[in-house]
Amino acid sequence: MTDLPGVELTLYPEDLPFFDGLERGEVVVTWCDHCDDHVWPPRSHCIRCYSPVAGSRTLAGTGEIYSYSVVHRGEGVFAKRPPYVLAYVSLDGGPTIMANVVADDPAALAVGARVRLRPRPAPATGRAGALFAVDPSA
Amino acid sequence: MSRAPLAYVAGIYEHPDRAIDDRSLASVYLEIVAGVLADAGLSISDIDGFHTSLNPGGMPAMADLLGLSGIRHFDGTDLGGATYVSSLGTAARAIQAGDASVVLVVMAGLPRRGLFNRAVPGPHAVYELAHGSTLVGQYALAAQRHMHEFGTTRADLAEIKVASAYHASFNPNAMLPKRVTLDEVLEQPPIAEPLHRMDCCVVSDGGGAFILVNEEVARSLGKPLVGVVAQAETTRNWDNGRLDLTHTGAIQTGAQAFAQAGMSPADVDYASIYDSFTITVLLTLEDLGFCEKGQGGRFVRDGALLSPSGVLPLNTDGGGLSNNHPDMRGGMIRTIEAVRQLRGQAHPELQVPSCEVAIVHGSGFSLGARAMSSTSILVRES
Ligand SMILES: [Zn+2]
Repeated sequence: MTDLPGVELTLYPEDLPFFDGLERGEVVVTWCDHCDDHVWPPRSHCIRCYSPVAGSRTLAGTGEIYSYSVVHRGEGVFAKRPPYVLAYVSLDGGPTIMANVVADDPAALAVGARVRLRPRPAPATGRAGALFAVDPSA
Repeated sequence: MSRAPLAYVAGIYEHPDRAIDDRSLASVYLEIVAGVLADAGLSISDIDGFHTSLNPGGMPAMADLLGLSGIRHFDGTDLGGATYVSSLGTAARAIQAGDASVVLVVMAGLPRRGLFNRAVPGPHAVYELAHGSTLVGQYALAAQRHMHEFGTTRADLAEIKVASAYHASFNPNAMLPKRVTLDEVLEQPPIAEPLHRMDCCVVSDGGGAFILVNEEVARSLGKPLVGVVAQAETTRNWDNGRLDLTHTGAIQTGAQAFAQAGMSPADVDYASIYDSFTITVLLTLEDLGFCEKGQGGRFVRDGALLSPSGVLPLNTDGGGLSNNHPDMRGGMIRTIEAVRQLRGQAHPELQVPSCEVAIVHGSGFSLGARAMSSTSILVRES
């Protein structure tokens, strides 16, 4: 389940801190300094105070599974591939984000399970999404 | 009931076909409009308001195609599966304001050929696409979270499909007219766990229409009087990364609609609840107040949704799970079946006796977050 494809994405400046961060093995979210809160998904402006968003924050890269689904019918570049885990991960000190999850022990895959970002090698084409591994020590 | 209707449903029409391979989409729209005019006893020149949602060519092309001239009130709002339930409110309010007296609401699509009306990718699509998110997957995430928080089971969800298939077995036009057992539903292959094949609605061609009119026109037509007494709509957002997948906008739209109508869930005789997936029905029933939050799994057991014997007869045409789901916007067909029940024109085996109050709920886009809700309450007037 770790063999996830790169995806061709049209990215804009507000998207780059997150996707570039993943390539360094970090979880980076856009941040509103005025509200001292994350802005998620990333946007050019904070949706609470409507200030332009200038900053970002690097999180610990750990969190827990809010929900997950083993997807058997992927679409696009995910079609005709083995089942993979689509999830929402609630990040420590940050937002709940969509991600993929891998569990070396499939029985450990559960809502509430602790997870840690698992760095992925850069795909041959496109961009890599966020992949987390179930890790009780996280 | 404590409130006079805002407007009346004068005509309904559901296209009978589920697979249309040899005709144009334009001809399907025209067939539907011919059908709804005949049902209402009106002619095309009577129409002075026009609603559809996303459509081929835009509103002027559609007005031209259908021969609509002299339209004074247009609405092309797309709320996904909540569309058309929403039209019951917007068209009724336009009628109340005097902006129109006879409003045609029509939709059609041929998704089996790829001809359905869809929006361009949304502003945050890349955060879904990067992770292989699918439509079924998003609903599955809501289902999994509900199972975790409240102990809901796959068998609970399967009860919703069993009721749908039972009702569809009386509908000669249903895409899936065969009854199914709980075990048959559970044995289906997974699509996105915990949702399996029979937890998902059909993909069908076709469409439908209804006509909303003012009281004067309604009383002149000599048909059973079905009135709109309430309608409310809202969204649920990702909420800046603080999403909550176990609650839907129906909490708000249901409370608003019941307050507008001066009613409570106990007053409802029949429910048309959008069933894009089994989990959609379960969450909606909880949030509309038919049971406590988290008790949806218990509520749908023991034939609760069967008509006419259950405590809440639901989707007696078979719904999107078994009848049809044209243009991926089930709000139209949900509305039509509610009107049939209020008119006493549902299948005789499934007609709710003395059906006087029906609720219609549409759900659009995703579920729990980035999701649309619309609720209407319809009544039979004597
Ligand atoms: Zn701010």
